[in-house]
Amino acid sequence: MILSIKNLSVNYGLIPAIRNLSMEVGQGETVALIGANGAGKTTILRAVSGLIKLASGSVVFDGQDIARLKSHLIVRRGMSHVPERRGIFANLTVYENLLMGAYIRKLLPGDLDEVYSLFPILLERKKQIAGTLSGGEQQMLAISRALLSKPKLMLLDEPSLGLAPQITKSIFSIIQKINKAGTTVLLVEQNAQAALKISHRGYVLEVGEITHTDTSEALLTNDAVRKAYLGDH
Amino acid sequence: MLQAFLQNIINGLAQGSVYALVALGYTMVYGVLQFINFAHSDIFMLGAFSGFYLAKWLTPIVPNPLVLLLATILGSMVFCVTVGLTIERIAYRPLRSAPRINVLITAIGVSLFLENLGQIIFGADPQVFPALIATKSILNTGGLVLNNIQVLVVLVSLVLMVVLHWIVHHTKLGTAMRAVSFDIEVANLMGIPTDTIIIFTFTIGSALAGAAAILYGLSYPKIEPLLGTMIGLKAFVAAVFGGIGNILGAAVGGIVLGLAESFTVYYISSSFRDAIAFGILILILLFKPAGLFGTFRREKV
Ligand SMILES: Nc1ncnc2c1ncn2[C@@H]1O[C@H](COP(=O)(O)OP(=O)(O)O)[C@@H](O)[C@H]1O
Ligand SMILES: [Mg+2]
Repeated sequence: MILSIKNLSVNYGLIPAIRNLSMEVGQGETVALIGANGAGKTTILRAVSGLIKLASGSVVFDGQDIARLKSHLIVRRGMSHVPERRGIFANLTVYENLLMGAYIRKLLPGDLDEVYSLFPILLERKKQIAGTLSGGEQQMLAISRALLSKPKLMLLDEPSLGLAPQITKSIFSIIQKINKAGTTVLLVEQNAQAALKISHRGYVLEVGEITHTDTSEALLTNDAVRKAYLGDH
Repeated sequence: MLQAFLQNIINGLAQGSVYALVALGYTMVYGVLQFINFAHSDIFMLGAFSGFYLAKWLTPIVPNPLVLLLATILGSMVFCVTVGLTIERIAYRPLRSAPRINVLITAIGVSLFLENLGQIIFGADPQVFPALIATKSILNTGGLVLNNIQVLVVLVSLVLMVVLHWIVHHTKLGTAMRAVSFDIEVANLMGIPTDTIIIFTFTIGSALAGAAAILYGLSYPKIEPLLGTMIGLKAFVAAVFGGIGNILGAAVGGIVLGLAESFTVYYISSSFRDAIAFGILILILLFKPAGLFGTFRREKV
């Protein structure tokens, strides 16, 4: 297991957001974490990447407990987190955003070629201020930026948020490509259908607790999951 | 008429570039930490005094005035950086996750501390800043006076601002500084060590204040421990005018304020010299509170 979360609890003040949650991501997998708005998906990712404190529990990444590690050091261990709403540096150019993605490394020319070949539009927009990109392009930039730290594990928080279905589709196929190229992916989504289609396994989160977990194929055909998340009535 | 106008431009530029250098320190620290470093004005004051003592000590040893000047500027910059980083380390860093108001109050406390310490160490009486370079008039035609000190002040400021621009826009650290000031959390997710970037920011801001202090001492050779108060306030106004957090804004704000002061003194009255800064502050807060180049950032959830 490249990531294993055990008995994780997170509180906002006195209010518990995540209760005693355990989940795992295996090397090479794409794991989907789905759930309604407010279920706690973002909270889990933020706890894993060190942005918020855990109330209790452990997070083991690549064999080491990172639960109390600062987030910039977790990145150095090989985890990259594409935050909800993408977190583009809107005041920087596309190229500068990519540079920041590679902050922990020495950027080699081939690295940029790699992301430009995934998302050719970024090469075209290289010198443009990132704040002027469309939502889809910003998501492409956010993913590229995360790739440039050469992560072992990539956390993606709702990459489909606010995107047209066609764009979501192409971004999801790129995520699949990234996974096939060897990066493990933990994909958080409200768009359960799309997420389960490209993932190996999935977890269903409801108000801070896992209610279902199975292979994505099985979840796609699970009645309860279909009713709640796949728009089947 | 034209001579008077040009004369005011010259005086305003010389004064304004000192404001600009100090304003940059306020705006950069605000950019990364969202608080006003009130102690910045006292770092400026300490820069002036460190230059004062350094110049006294160096004058008999260093015959070349240009070398003496550069050494004094560099010495003051180094001293200010030391002070700035010490303040950051012991007063601000422990409050990194505290409410901003706590940091603000601490900054005021540090400022008062330095001002009182200054009065104990240097005495409350003004001291005469040594003339590192003899004042020579370069131009004196038809009532238009331009001296070497004015040229020097503007040139040194210009060089420092160009260097700053290069650092901020063409180095990895500078880019990271802009990233941190846009979104410190996402910067963390890139693996950017934000404490390092904050130290870097204080270093640059303090160094500029140190240089500004010497340029000020050359132009107005009377320094005292409360020296920073008025300059600091004006530089702060300049930073707000340009849009606090905006580097270009601070530079432009400083120059505009210097020019405004110079014209006000000439065309209205010298008793309005200090009032104009606050007039500008009130106007900008009324009509464009985000400042000339500023955009209020989206409040983060
Ligand atoms: N900064 C915060 N302060 C207080 N409560 C929060 C904060 N962030 C999220 N919450 C609450 O925690 C719960 C989980 O939120 P979140 O993790 O954002 O859910 P999701 O990403 O699944 O939509 C929600 O009830 C939300 O209101
Ligand atoms: Mg969320």
